[in-house]
Amino acid sequence: MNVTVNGKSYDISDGTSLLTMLYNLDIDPGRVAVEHNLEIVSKTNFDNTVLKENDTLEIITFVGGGL
Amino acid sequence: MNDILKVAGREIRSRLWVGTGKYKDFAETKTAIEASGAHVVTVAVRRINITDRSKEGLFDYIDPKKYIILPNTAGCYTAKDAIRTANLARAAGVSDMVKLEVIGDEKTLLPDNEALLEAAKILVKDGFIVLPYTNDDPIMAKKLQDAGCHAIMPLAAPIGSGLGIRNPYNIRIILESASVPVIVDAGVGTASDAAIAMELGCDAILMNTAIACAKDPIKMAYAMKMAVDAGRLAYLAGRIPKKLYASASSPLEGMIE
Repeated sequence: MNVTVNGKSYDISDGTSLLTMLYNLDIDPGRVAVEHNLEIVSKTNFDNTVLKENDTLEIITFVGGGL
Repeated sequence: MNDILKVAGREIRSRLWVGTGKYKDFAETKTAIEASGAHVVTVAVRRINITDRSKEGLFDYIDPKKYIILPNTAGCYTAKDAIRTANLARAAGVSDMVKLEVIGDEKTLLPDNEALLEAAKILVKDGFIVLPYTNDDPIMAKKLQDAGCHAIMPLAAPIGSGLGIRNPYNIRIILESASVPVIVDAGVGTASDAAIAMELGCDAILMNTAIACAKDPIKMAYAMKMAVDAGRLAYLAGRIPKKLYASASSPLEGMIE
């Protein structure tokens, strides 16, 4: 099935959890925040959030910036 | 000397706060921040790079346990985007503070005060520690304070302009009526600008470009630290009034005849 992550399309297997998706993308879950279909997912729910066809994820982190 | 800055009851160990943008690399960012002595470090919120995971992250160099991380909403042009960004930043789990920016225009990067106030009210209600970047406008500062903001961050001059304190009189009026810390945010160009802001009585200064884009960012970071400390001390010491005519500092008695 297809999901969109930060604007990019990914083909993943059915039943993939958000946590597995992060690991597959080589992302440390401790250092990011995630919006799942525009709703923020708390870190404690990364594991029990199961992705569905056409879901959209925004994964953010902190970068250098001032103003 | 007992001169501790507190924002929302939290002790802050420096009056110089710094940004993390525009440096050559993370190593320079880290060294400059250490030289600045800053305890508060502002960071931007952006999409993680998912296609190239080999790159190191900011927090590989800046330990979030060592600094107070102040996420900002830089680049947001609407209240909605700023609120969304602030919520994502908080969800990342390193800070419940936000340097709230709602920018009105790409060319000037001046704040959209109407949208800023709207976003500030919502974020305060949602339990954020809100530090809004605003014009050097005493009325706006008052409105933001009344909305429950935990500090006011008036600009000295436009972001990255290095023009210094353009309107010291407005900053003084803001200081007079503020019951929360006033932190100059943006526009400082060099050490004397920082000293002037602190001599006016500002509680702290946040800067990025003046340090990161100096020829030698590490030296400038240290210069800014000393300027902020010197300016604060001069403010506490109380300067002499300005006078038109001379006033001799040597005794008039005992002159040779």
